[in-house]
Order: sequence, then structure tokens, then C-alpha cells
Amino acid sequence: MPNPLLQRLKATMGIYESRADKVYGLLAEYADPGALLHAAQEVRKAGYKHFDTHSPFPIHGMDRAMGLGQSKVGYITLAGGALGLLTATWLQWWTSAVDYPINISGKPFFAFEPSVPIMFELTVLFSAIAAVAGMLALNGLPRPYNPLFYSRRFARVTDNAFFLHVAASDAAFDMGQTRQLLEDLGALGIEVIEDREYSDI
Amino acid sequence: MPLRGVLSGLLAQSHEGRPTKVEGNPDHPVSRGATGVFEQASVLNLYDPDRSRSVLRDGAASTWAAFVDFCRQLAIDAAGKRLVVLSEETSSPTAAALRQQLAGRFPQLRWITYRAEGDDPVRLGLQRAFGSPYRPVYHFEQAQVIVSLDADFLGPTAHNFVHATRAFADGRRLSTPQDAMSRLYVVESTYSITGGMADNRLRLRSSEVPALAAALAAKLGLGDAQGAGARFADHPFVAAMAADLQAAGSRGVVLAGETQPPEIHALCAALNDALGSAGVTYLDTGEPPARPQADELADLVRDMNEGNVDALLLLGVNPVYDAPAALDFGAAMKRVGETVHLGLWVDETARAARWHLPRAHYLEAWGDGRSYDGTRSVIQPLIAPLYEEARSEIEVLGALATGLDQAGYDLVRVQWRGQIPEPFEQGWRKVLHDGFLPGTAYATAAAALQPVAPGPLPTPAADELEIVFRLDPTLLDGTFANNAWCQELPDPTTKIVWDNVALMSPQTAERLGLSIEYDAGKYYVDLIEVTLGERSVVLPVWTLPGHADDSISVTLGYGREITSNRPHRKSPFWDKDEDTDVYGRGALANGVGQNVSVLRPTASTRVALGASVRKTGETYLVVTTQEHGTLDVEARPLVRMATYDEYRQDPAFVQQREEPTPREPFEDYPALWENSHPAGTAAMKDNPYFRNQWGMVIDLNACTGCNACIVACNSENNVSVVGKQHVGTGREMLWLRLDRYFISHGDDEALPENPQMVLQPVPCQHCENAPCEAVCPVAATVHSPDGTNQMIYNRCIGTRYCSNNCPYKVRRFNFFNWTKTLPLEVQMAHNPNVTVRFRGVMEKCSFCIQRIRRAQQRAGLEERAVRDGEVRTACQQACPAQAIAFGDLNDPESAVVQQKQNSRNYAMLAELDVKPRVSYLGRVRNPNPSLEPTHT
Amino acid sequence: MDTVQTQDLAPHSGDGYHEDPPLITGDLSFHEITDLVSYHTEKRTPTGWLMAFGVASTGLMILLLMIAYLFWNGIGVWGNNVPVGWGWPIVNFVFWVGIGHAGTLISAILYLFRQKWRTSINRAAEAMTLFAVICALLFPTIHVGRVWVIYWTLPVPNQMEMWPQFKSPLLWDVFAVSSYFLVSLLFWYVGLIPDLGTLRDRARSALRKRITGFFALGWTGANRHWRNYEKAYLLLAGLATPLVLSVHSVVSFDFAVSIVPGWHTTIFPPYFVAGAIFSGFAMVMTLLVIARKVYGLENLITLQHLEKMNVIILVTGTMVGFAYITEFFIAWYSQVEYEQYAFLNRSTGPYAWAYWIMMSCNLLFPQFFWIKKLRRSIPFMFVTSIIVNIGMWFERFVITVTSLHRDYLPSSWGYFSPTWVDVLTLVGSFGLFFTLFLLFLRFVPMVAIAEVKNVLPQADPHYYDDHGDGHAAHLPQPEAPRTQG
Repeated sequence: MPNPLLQRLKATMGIYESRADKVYGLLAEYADPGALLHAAQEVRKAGYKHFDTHSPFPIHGMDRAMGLGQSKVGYITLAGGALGLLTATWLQWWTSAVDYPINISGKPFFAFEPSVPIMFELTVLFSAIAAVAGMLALNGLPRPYNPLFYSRRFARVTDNAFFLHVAASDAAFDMGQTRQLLEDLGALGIEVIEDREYSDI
Repeated sequence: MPLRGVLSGLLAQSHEGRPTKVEGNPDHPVSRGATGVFEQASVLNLYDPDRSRSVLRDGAASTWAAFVDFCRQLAIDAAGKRLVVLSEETSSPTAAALRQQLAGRFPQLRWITYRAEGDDPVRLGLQRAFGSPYRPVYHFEQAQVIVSLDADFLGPTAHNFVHATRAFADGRRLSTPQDAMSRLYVVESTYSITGGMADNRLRLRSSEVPALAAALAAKLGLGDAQGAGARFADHPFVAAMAADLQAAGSRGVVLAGETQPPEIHALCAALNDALGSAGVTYLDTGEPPARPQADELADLVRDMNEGNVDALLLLGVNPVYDAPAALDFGAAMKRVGETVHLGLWVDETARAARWHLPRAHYLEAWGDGRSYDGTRSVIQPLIAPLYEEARSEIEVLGALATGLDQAGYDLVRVQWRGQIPEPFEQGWRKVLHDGFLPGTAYATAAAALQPVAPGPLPTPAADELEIVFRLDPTLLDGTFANNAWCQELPDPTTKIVWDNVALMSPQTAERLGLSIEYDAGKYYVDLIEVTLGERSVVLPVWTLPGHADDSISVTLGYGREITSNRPHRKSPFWDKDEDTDVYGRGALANGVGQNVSVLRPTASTRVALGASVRKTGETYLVVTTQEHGTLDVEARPLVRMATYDEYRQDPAFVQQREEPTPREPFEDYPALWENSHPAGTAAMKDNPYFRNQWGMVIDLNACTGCNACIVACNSENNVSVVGKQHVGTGREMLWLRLDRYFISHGDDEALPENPQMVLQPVPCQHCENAPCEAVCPVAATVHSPDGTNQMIYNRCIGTRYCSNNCPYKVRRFNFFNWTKTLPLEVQMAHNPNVTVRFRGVMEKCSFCIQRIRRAQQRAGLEERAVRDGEVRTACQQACPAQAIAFGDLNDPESAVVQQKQNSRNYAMLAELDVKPRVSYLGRVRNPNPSLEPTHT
Repeated sequence: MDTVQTQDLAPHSGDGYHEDPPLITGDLSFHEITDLVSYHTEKRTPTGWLMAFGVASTGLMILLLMIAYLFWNGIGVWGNNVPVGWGWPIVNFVFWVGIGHAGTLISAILYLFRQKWRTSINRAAEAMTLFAVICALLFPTIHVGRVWVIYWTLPVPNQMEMWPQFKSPLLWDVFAVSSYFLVSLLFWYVGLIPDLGTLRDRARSALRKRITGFFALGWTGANRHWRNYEKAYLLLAGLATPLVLSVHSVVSFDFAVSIVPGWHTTIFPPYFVAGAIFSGFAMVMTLLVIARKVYGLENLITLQHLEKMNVIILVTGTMVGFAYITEFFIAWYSQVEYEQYAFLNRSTGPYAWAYWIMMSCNLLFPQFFWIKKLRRSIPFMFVTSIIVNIGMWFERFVITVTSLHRDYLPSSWGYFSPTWVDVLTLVGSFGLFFTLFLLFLRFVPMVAIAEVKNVLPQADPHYYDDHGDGHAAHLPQPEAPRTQG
């Protein structure tokens, strides 16, 4: 029995549990970003939580339409930066003033002036690594296996197709009603995604 | 060490049975602890990989035993045998005794002393003046006015170099403005380092100097019968000298150089006599008057050619190479039944001789001799001969004289019995311990001067080209031609390495239409054919400001051909060893420079007139260690100078030259990091080394620029030799260099015809705020608690940033693995206390840290502080002028602190606030006001 | 289905999205853009590419041989000496680092300034940055005397229990340049992820699918992902921007922190950064002018893009020229003999020829860009971009060599002449650069597909308010500023 807390965490990453009958969710394609945005808004109004839109590029206002808050990447990056700054400062102070102090050009063993460049560089480096690592973590990437890949037409999501996917794990999910709702929102096509648990390549 | 008939008192340092370094014997009355270039370099001659290793008979390997047999054969009816010994100058009592024995055995023995450079005009001159060949000793320290007539008495080739330099420097030291200072007049053709020390200098063809001397004599009331000096009768320079000498009276000295004919030396003796000079005394060596070598040699060659010589013994001489080509000594040797050559190398003469005997180096064999003042010493070997066949000259003489194979040790002991007070063993041990037998100096001659009329003096035409032959300041007469240190030792004035050149004044070069092209950092000079009589030599031309016009100076000792048993190094195309190995092309000396002695018409020619020069049209690459030779002291006061009077008025003249115009003197600026300076932190203070803070002062007034310090440094610190090509690309490794500047005032490019020359020794300055340290990414060069800037070879990764950031450019980088290809013999010369540096690391002067640490350890064991003078750097110890003071800045009594308090003390580039630990004492010149400015 | 909207897309339409001429010309649809770019990574290897690659990899071979020769014999195979301890290797290092600046600059700074036009060129520019920085990193590494202990410049415990000397500008360099490389790499890769997804979804062979799929990390273009992705990308841009500026400042410290006359000057950091951008843009120009022709990307990389870049070249070139003149003024004003001589020697000494090449290439030539006609002339800008890079190489040569060869003590003055090894090593470094760049062109989308789609008018949902079926007509206007340019 999977841990519900973990499930909720995974849900924020767009990773949902498939139903016992292997149904993973419904995938509807829409004509254009405008239609997709509208659909997302409606689906949310209808009280769905476990749904997501897929598009070749980010769509403005979609976060608001889906009711998603601010991304957390910023905080992770900040933490990384702070760590970098501390590391640099400690490294330079400890090695040159504590562990092995040497008289270099008669300069103080440790001073801030000459330490600034490395402090800066490590701060940036650590922040950047944190930003990327944080982004991937929050997105649950890398995720080589994703039931959506079973859909043939979903391959066009990185080209010119716009999809809305409602996961079966959603409390409000009902095969009939949900499909109806998506159709009303002008889906060009709808298919049921099943978690076949094998790779087709 | 025996050199040119004079013994210098040395102490040799030995490691694991290998002598690696020689120092002057501090107790010895002549050397007084100092040494010259050649003493220092002699160690490397011992380890010369091209030394001859076996006895040769007609070029085929033979044995010493076979030679002893030969000696017995030769002794059969010795009475009828016409044996001639052509020997280098030797002062060895043992040799003298053996010579008597030999004469006893071979009644017709003829003994000729041979000098590569020709006669000793000093001896001949004094012989004229006093009837016997006295030996002059000059007491420059007492002199007030010194007049040098083309005498390079401060040059490394001077006969009594160490003593003369010391004495001269003693007469120039100024600790307070009250101190007196001698005045030196120099009249010379080339620009010698003596000329560099001159207060008033006149550039004049050597062949004209006699006339000037005559004029001077006339002015001083000696009369000038033939009126030879007429041309200079009212020359201002002569007038000034005469006036000064008169004023100085007994405190005036006049001396002539080796380029001058005996008459002039006699004349100088007369002059000094007239002045009642206390500046010179004469030693009676007890030698009989000798014929001029030229005559002796001429007769000998004639006899040889006529077959009137049965056997010829050549003791350490190389006449086939350095006798005048006119004599064709080599051909003459072929006419002699038996020729025996003893020498360190299978050289030109060895190849011409039927017997060649490998000679034992003085550090390998027992011997004895007398120093310049006659003090007797025993030469003790520190190592058995590297090559078992090697024998010393006394052993060879012994074999010839007795037919027995006697060891040098016995020969010397036999000789010394009777010389020293009984009991012999005790006396003998004492002599060995002290290194000399006190009180054995020559007696001072009661100089009974015989009046001499100067003979006919040469009167050269106005623009007649003269050639002056001189001993080379780095190779001497070629004895040191196969010595890597000497070959790469920059000529003191031209800074040229690995070559000899035809030196002339820029004006003459221009007149002859000769050019020196500077292209991309290299000097391509015209090759000229210098012709004298029917012989000529092709030499690269070089110009020296202040050289006399219409005069060409050449040096002996180059163009050697030594037979080397070592193959040429071959390496695959991807490997540079072949091209970085200076020992890789057979004997070092071969193919370096040209042998100019072939030009000399007679064996005593020093100056020849009527030379002609022809441009060959080819150019030649001449390599120097100093690309840019002039210094505008107004813009860059690196060397600070004043006249004696200016100094009297303002003892602190050096301070006023503080560098460019910060409104308030930069000393008033707040010191950097004074609160948090590491020197003040516990980490440093707790260190035992912290007690001593090392510093150095170099007195530019004493330093003559003789190069002794550089060779001493090479020898002490295993400094690599890189060869002509790489010196040319700026990769020389000298830790200590002598910067030679021609002083220009205001304009760096335009030099006066007779500019002033200064030489400035530049070691690492050991800055307290060393710029090199801060830029090293791996802390490979750091500051020691005792205040020296240290280079940590095994930490260095070789970014070369430190060298870039060194304002004094004293750092040296191992661009290749110089030591990888060193022959085993040469490796034996290394000082085991100093790391041999690997490719890719930086190196530089360390203040001889190994010596400092040894002293500190000793002091530590004896639980006392390091005494002043206990640590002496190699350069300081060698310096004959005592120009370098080194010691502990924390010890207020130390010599270095005294010197630092001298008002002439200044630091180079002090305005950079790097706080160098090395400082200089400003140069003070004492020119005759009536002649100022000299630079005309 | 895909291209429907683009048919009835009229230039005047939309709620005011094309005040300025369209960045992407030719009325391309999403799919056409995908095809246009992806095609070049999927088609059969063209002979032209093979030939170019042959040449480039030959250069790389030469580089490797020269390095082998160097390691075997030592630094002496170069022309370096005392006083000129740093010769061509450091010149090349600074040269390549400089070039490595435009990429991240174009990406990051223009991104922050919402310069939509960057989207067409940033991918190639970033790639160029990476490869240039690789070339740059090579030189300081091989120029040390004992390369086998180069790791002592990193704070790793070693048998001597010693640490790097953090006061040394060289060490700052180590950190600055390597951080710059890593951050640029991340920035580039993050930008690549969606396009890798595209390649994955277009892949026909299983192998290609696996490889692209591996690097695409399972990207599905989910909005929950776009949300974090865009934030991260924005942050990276924000981080990279000061980094770009810092890197060349730190490089300039190598000189400015020393006491060598001609190096020791405070103007270096800004002047080096300007120079870096200058040379970097020139190099991007050189490459793009070729690439857009060869790959027919004229519609993505338009004349408008190139002109904007030329303007930047003009501006930075003028800044650099101004710096040259300022140096002279300061030297005169300082009244320091050594400083004054250093600059006098530069312009009149043995290396004057190098100085005047630098002056004419960097200060003079870019001035022609004041003329709009020339600014928009492809052949002219191509030639100029090459001239500029020649000039910038000489700038580094002048700074490094002419300052060193004559400093404080006239006795130690010297001269530097390069050896054949110096020359071939420089040539070889270009081989390395172009080898990498050609591989990039062949196997990676050279234009950021997702980003370009994003600047199309039809990428905005509100574009459909009066087009298509009007689904979104009644949506409120987003008051939040567009986070995607």
C-alpha cells in the first residue's frame, strides 16, 4: 500500500497512481493554446486536482488557469547560494589562516579582499547547481517511464499538439463525466491512457 | 691552486670524497679568504668529461709503466742528449729541485718557460730597471693617486688579481664623508673593468700609450730625450695626472699594463721612484734575468727544425695552439726525435707529440708552490686521480730525472725536509693544516734603480689600425675553454658568452662600414676578416662604447680543438635532448670562437700595428646576456652615483634620487597591513628561525665586477649551463648577474663617446613584501620566518607568474631538463646540499640557504646564537673586493647592520614598497675637477 | 490540422503583437519550425559536413601532437623566456575565454532584458561558449611547467599537506573559469531538454529514441514542469549574467593585480569584459553567417538579428578603443617613468606592428557599422567579424608580451619570438573548437525550437481571442507580466 503522503508529493510532480484496472487517465487534445487554456480553467472549475496540460512550449496564464502557485525553485537556489558562500569563506580562511599559515608577500594570512572572487564564484556555482537539481527534483525528472507515452498522438506534444490529461487517481475522476466534460471543452480527440507497464520500444 | 706560476692559497670543500667547491684560505697572506674567477672555476676542470684518460704513444693507448721505461731508455748516454723542457710557469720548489736533478743528468738540458700570452713585460721591464726580474706589489690602499697606463690590474686576468682588488677596494671604502678615497686615472684602449672603476678615463690606442707615458714622465721631470711624448706634451689629461701625482708624492702610483713594452714598465718604475712612491714595493724572487721568451722560442724552433733537439718535454703547455703561427711549432715538433706532452686534455700539442701523458689536476695530486708574495704552500689532493694514468708534472719530471716512478707525495716530502723546522712530522702536519708555511715570503728588494733610457717608441699613424691581444677574462689563455661555467660566464664588459669577437669603438665600426643588426631580440653582426701581415682570422665584430678608435681588441683562448672520447648525442626527432645538451657535441671548447694567436707575428706581441679589416659579407649571431646596455640614470636611478665632493656635501645623496614624483616621499605612506602583518604573528614568532633576519648590502664603490661571485654561485648552487642557443633565447640560469650599464644622462639612446660604465651585481633581492609570492597559485615561493624569499622546487608547478611579477627579473626557469643529460663526471661536481632542479620549476638565489641552515644547526647544537660572519654566502666569500656584506639584521653589531646605516645605503626600486632585503651603497667617483666631465 | 491557423494569419492581425517587424519571417507554423530545425539532426550526413569535419579534426590531431611534443620536452619548445614568461599560450587563453563570453551573454543578459530576438541564436551561441571555454581551459593547463601536478591548484589534500594559495589571481582564474564552464553547461543543457524531447518523439530508430530519450529525461511538456523549468531557467540567466561579467574581470586580475608596468591598471576589468563581448559577438557572427546560409535558416536568423549584433559590436568596439586611449592618458598622467615607457614602447617599440594591427582592427574597422548599409551587408559583416577577432587576438598579445618584454631593469629587457610549436598549437586549438562545433551542428538542434515557437504570435493564448474558434474570448487579460519572451 503506497504511502498517501508520498502520493500527494508525487502528484505535485505530475506523477499519478494508475487505477487497479490499469486506467491511468484521460488524454484530450485541443486545437491551440487558447483552447487549452480555456479547457484547463474549466476542468479546474469542475473541481479536478490531478490534471495537467502538455504543450510544446509554456503557455501564459496557464499557471493561474490551473491554480498553481509560485515555484519553489527559488528557495532551493537561495539555499545553494548560501552554502556556496559559506564553503568559499571557510575554505579560504581555514586553509590559509588555520591549517597551514604561510607568510605570503607579508600579507595577512586571511583577509576578505583577496577572498572575494572565489566567494563569488562558488556562490554562483552552488546556486546554479541547486537551481537545476531543484527543478529536476520538483518535476520528478528524470522520469523515463510515463504511461502517457503509450499514446501515439502524444508524441506530437513536443511538436505542435496541445493536450490536457486528467489522471484517474483524481477523487473527482469518472470515466463518463470526465470524458463528457473534456468533449464539451472542444477536444479534438480523447483517448484512455492505460498503464500497460511495459515499454513499447 | 697553481696558476700562471703563482699559487693561490685555497681551502677545498669535499663531499663524499668529491671536492665540490674551493674557497680562499682566510689565513693566507695573499688570498685572505678571497678567490677569483679561475680558482672557482677550476673545480669543473677536475670533472671535465673530456679530460685525457690514458697515456698515448704515437696516438695509440700506452701505459705509464711504458713511459717510465722510455725515461730509462732516454737516460742512456744522457750526456749527449739535447733535452729541452718547455714548461708552463711554475713556482714549485719541488719542480725546481727536480729541474736541478734533470740538469745534472742531462748536461745539455735547456729549460724554457712558456706563457701563452707571451713575455711578461713587467719582469722584463723591472729587469731593465733593476737588473733582475723583481716582482712588484702595489699597495693601492695607501695610494692617493693611481695612474694606470693600459693596466687592467683589477681584471680577473691580472697576475696578482685577488690582492690588487682587495687593496684597491680598501682605498675606496667610504663609511663616513670624512674617509679619504683614492683617485684612479686610467688610460686604456678597450673598456676594462678597471676602466669602469676609473675616476678619470682616457680612451687611447695601446700603441699610443707609451708616448703618453713619456709625456707624463717628462712632466714629472724625468726628461724625454727623444721627445717621444711630444704629441701629448700639453694634453690636459697628462697635465692633470702629472699635477695630481706631484701633489700626491709618495702616495701616488703609476703602473703599466701587460700590453705595454718593457720600456714603459721600466719607465713606471722610474716614475714611482721619482715620486718616492710608497704605493709599490718590489719582491726579489731570486730568479736570474731571463731572455725574452720570443727569442728563446725562435731559437728553439730553429734548433728543432735543424734537428738539434733530441727530446722535447712540454709541461702543461700548448704551443701548437697558442704559439704564433709564424713559428709553425707543430711542424717543428715533427723534426724532434722524442716529444713528450703532459696536459689535462688531448689537445693540439698532445696530438702533435709522440708521447702524451694525462695530467693530474691539482686537486688530485701532491705538489707545492709559492704564492705571489712567495709564501710556500703544499698542494694536497682531495681525491685520487679520476684516471689512474694521470700524473702530476713533478712525477713526470721525477721519472725523467731519476728514471724511477716516484709518487708526488714522496717527492714533495723529500723537497720539504730541511725547509721546515724540525721535528719534521710536526712541522709537516702544521703546514698541511695551515695550508702554507708562514714567513716564507720573498724578501723585499732594495730597489737600486738603474737609469733607463726609453728605447724607440712606436708612433702609429693617425688612423692606423692596431690589434691588441689580451687574455680572455673568462677563458684565460684557453686553459678554461672546456669549462662550461667559464664559457657561459658573460664577459664583464661586453656580456658576450660562448664567443670571442673583434672589439672596437662604434666610431671605428662606422668608419669601416661595419654593422650590428638587432633583429627580433638577437644581434646579427658582420663577420670581418682581420689581417695582420700575411695571416688573417675571421671574427664577428662587436662595438664597445668608450673603446679607443682605430683599435681592435681580441682575446686569446678560443678556437680550441680538444680530442674528446665522447660520442655526439643523437636523439629521435621528437626529443630535444640533442639540442639542450651542451656536452652533447664532443668537447665544449671545440668550434667556439676563433684562435687569434695565429695572427701574432712573434711570441711576445701584445699590440700589433698595421692591421687591415675586410668585410666578408656574412653575418653571425652573437649572444649576450644583456640586450640593452645603457641606463638613463635621470629617469631610472637604479644605480646611484655622486662625485666625491657631492658626497662630502651631501652624504645622503642616494636618498634624493627617490623615484618619480610622489609629492611626499613614499616612506611617509602608511605601511601596508602593519597591524596584521604575518611577521608579527605567533605563527612566525614562535619559529626558531625568526631570531635571525638575513640581509645583504653590496657596496658599488668596492665592487669591480670581476665575475668571481657569479662562478662561486654557480659552483655552490649547481646552476645549470644552457649553451649559446638558449642564452640567446633568454634562458640563461645565472642566479647572480652583473648588470653592466653605460650611463647616459637624460637620453637613453645617445651615449657620449667615452661614457661611464658601472657594474651592478643583482641577486634575488629577498623582498619582505615579495611580489613573486602573492601570485603563485600553489605557494611554491613563500617567505621564511628569517625573512628570506624561498623557492620550494618540489611544490612548484611552473606557471612562471612569479618571474613575470619580479621587478628585478632574477628568477630563472627550467625550460628544459638541463640536468638530465649531464655527464657523470660533471654530476660529481654538484653540491649535495643543494637540490638539483628538474624541468618545469622556477629557481633563484636562495641567499645560500643551505649555508644558513647549517650554521643555525651548529649554533643550535652549541646552544648559542649564530655569530656575525658565521654565515657567508658563496658570492660574499669569493668576493676579492669584500663588496658584499651579509648577516643578521637583528644583530645591531653585525657588519650588515653597520653597512645599512651607511648614508650611501639605498634599495633598488624602493618606491615599489617591496622592501628588498638587499640594498646597495651608492657609487662615489672622485674625478679630477679640472677634467670634468670625463665623458667627451 | 497543424498548419490551419497559419493560413489565415494576416500581418496586421492579433491584439498588437507585431509593432516591430516579425522576428520570425516566412509565416512558419509550429510544425514547420520543428521540422526545419530537427531535420538537420536527422538527415543523412551531408558530404559538406564530412569534409568540414575532416579539416577540423585534422586541426585537432595537430593540437594533440603539439601537446605530446610539449609534454615530452618541456616548455622550452615554445618561445617563452625570461622576461617574457607568458607567451602565446596565455594570449590564446585570454582570447578563447573572451570569445566564450558572447554565448552566455546573449542567452542570459538578453533573456533578462526580454530581447525576444535572442531565441534564434542563443542555442548556437551557448554551444560556441562551451567550446571556446574548453579551448581556453586547455591553455593554462598545458602551459605550466609540470602539468602532472596541475591538480595542486585545486583544494585537494596532497602528500605535502599544503593548500592552494588563495591570494593568487591565477587561482581565482581556476575557480572563475571552471565555474563559468559548469554553469554555462547547465544553462545550455537545461535549455536543451524540451528540444531533446522533440527529437525523442520524432525518432524513428529505437537506438536514437533511447539516446535522445535518455537525455530528454522523460520530458512531456507538462505545465507543472514548465512552471519550475521556467523559474529555474530565469534564475540561471540571473546567475549567469554577473558570472559572465565576473569571469573576464577575474581573468584581467591576472594582469591588473601584478606590478608589471602596462599590466598594473584598474581599467582592466571593465575593458576586458567589453573586449570579451566584442570578440564573442564577432565570433558568433562569423559562425551564424555561415550556418544560416548552409542550413537555410534565413527565416529564423534574420538580417534583423545580425544587425542588432553588429550594433553591439560597434558599441563594444568603441568602448575597447576608448580604453586603449585612456591607458595612454593615465600613463602620461601618472608621471611614472616605467608606466610611461611601457606604453611608449608599445606604440613605438619593437612590437609596434602588433600594436597598430590591434588599433586598426578593433578601433577603426567596427566604426564602419555606423553606416546602416554596411551594418546590414552580409559580406561586410562577415569580413569585419573576422578582422575583429584577429584584432582581439593581437590585443591580448600586446598586453601580455609587450608589457613583459621591457619592464623595470633595462638590463633584463628581452624579446619574445614564437616557435613553430606556438603557431601550430594555436591552429590546433581552432581545430578543437570547430570539431566540437561541427558535432554540435550535426547532432543537436542548433536553434531553440521551443523558445522560437514561443515568440510566434500564435503562441499566445489571447491571439485566438479573435482567431480560431474564440474559445478564450471571455478570458480575463493576464495582469501578470509575461514570463516568457
